[in-house]
Amino acid sequence: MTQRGPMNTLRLGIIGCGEITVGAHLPAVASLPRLVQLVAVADVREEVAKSVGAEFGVTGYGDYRQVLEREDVDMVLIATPDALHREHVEAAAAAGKHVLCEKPMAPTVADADAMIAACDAANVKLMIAHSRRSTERYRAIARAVEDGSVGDVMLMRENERRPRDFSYWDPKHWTGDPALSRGAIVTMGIHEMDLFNWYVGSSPVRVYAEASVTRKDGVVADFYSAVVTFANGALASTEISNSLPPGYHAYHQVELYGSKGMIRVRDTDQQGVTVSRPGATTFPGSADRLLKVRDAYAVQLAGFAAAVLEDAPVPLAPTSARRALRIGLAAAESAATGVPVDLPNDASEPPEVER
Amino acid sequence: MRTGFSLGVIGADDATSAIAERLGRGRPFSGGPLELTRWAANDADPALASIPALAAEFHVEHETAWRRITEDASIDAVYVGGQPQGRLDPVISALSSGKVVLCPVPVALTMAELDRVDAARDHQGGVLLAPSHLEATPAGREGLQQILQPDSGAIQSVYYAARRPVATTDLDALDEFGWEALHFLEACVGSPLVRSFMETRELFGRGGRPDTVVAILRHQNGVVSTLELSRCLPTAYGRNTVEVEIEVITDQGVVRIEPNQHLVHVVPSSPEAARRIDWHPHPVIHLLDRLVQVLDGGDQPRGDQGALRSVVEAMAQLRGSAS
Repeated sequence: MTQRGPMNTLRLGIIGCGEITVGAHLPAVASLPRLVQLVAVADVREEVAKSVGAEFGVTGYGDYRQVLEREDVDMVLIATPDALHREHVEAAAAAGKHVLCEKPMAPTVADADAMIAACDAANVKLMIAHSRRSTERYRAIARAVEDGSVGDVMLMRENERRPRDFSYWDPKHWTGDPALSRGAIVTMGIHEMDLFNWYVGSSPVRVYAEASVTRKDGVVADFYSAVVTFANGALASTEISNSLPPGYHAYHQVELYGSKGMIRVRDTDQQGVTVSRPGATTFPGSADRLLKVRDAYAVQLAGFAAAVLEDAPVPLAPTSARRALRIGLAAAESAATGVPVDLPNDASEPPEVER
Repeated sequence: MRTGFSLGVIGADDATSAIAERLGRGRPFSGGPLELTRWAANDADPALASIPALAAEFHVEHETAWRRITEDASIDAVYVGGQPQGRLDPVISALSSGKVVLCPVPVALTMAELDRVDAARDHQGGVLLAPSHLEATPAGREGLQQILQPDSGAIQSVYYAARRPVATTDLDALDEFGWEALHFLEACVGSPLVRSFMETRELFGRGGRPDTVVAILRHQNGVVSTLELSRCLPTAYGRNTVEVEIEVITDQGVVRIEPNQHLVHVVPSSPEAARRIDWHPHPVIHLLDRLVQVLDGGDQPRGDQGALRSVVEAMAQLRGSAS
């Protein structure tokens, strides 16, 4: 059992103060005051760390190791570019901190394995923050799949569309830097790969993908279309585009076709009011029904914290994130080479679900 | 100028039934410029046996051999529908008799077949109209027009899904939906394929033939198209449902085309009895207007030839890329 801090809360340090931390994780922390207490933040941009820290009344550091050195930190949230995850996770595990780490897990499967091994050796929890596992929409779909309502899922798609003014893929942002980013199929598409695994419940065997750089000043592929084939014959596809006009809401189209029925969630079906003005189309009032992510981050954090406190398995095993990563990386390879990539069965990944 | 034209139909499918509903004797539009006079099936049509009853219902003369329609000098125009594999010979025969032929894609399945169609047309002066059903729907027509406007921007990607309820036909899914899909891509992207990848398999059907296709295509101009074609919808959707969803993303915006929004949703207390009824006239009705325009001496659709060739070529390439 992990020691609890004052007021029986877990004490959290955050490494990386970018958009996902400020926009999603910190509001989640604030919504769980009896479970989690923020005690320190770090960012390579020290001024950003200090500013975020000041806002929440905690110390902000320019070096993540200063967070790990603090004895009053029970667990850390790592929200840095995936190319840095291995270094940060290994250091956190060595310091005895439990780790909640942003997706994608790592830039390579070898890095992912090293992260898992480091946390196992240190006997600390590791969970990758695949937030859709905690999003009510996707949990509702999972419940319907798991109760057998639609039978075996044989065909699935999830398309994801975002506007051009979304900050990702800007060459000045790390996602747009080829040294740090493997493109939309890994940075964003990892969600889709994880959903495929979750719902289809069979081993992925092959993936094919095509990619494009659609952003005029872009370098990293921001468009992907991919199809994943599973051992049971099921097919799953995703098309990710970041080219909607500025101001357009991000939207998702999820469909699962099973041997007994189907599940469909299309954001575009839920847009009751559409207002188009020069430069932007908006859907006032509809956003409430679109993909809600803020709640998801609180559910995710609460689930991880509960696993730490009770020394129980984390809600999403790191091997599941590893499986999603393997597909995402294979899709990136397929897009680069123009040929399908086979995914050999990997015994280190237990089956997602037994169906 | 003539005011009345005689039409014969070959095939037994949704489209031929829609024509009969519209133009059969005593039907609302039977007094118009087109008169439906004869009905036959092509020899391979599994619905062959149903033709006599259908013809009788709509007071149309039934022929046991389709050549009696294509070779009859009193027939001005012929609609050829039914299974894709059975359309070629009636089309060639009708063109060879100098008729105006309306045959939605696919007219021919290979380049060699297309050569025969062209030869028949060129030799005897027949006219071939080979549109797609999608482009005859209001949403399909309008959507394509929007996409092709100069200010719509450069196309980046096309997502095209077509779905029917499980086990409604036993056709190979690529044959059932692929021709329409490739025709649409030809109309809006208009660029040959550099490469493609296709997964095709039987996931839901009970007929032993592939009912699902997922394919990703890269065009020479850099556009990436994704096709998802499947008989995967629950049977509650009703046998005639063909659900199409298209999303074309350009560097200026997005055009979404969903022709099936023209639906009446019927949801009674028993969920199993839920159904959707397409209230919009079958797209083939729109095509009949084009047919009349041609019969009246309007524009001859010679430009379709290149598109048909491109589509046949793309289909061959796609088939060759099956995993």
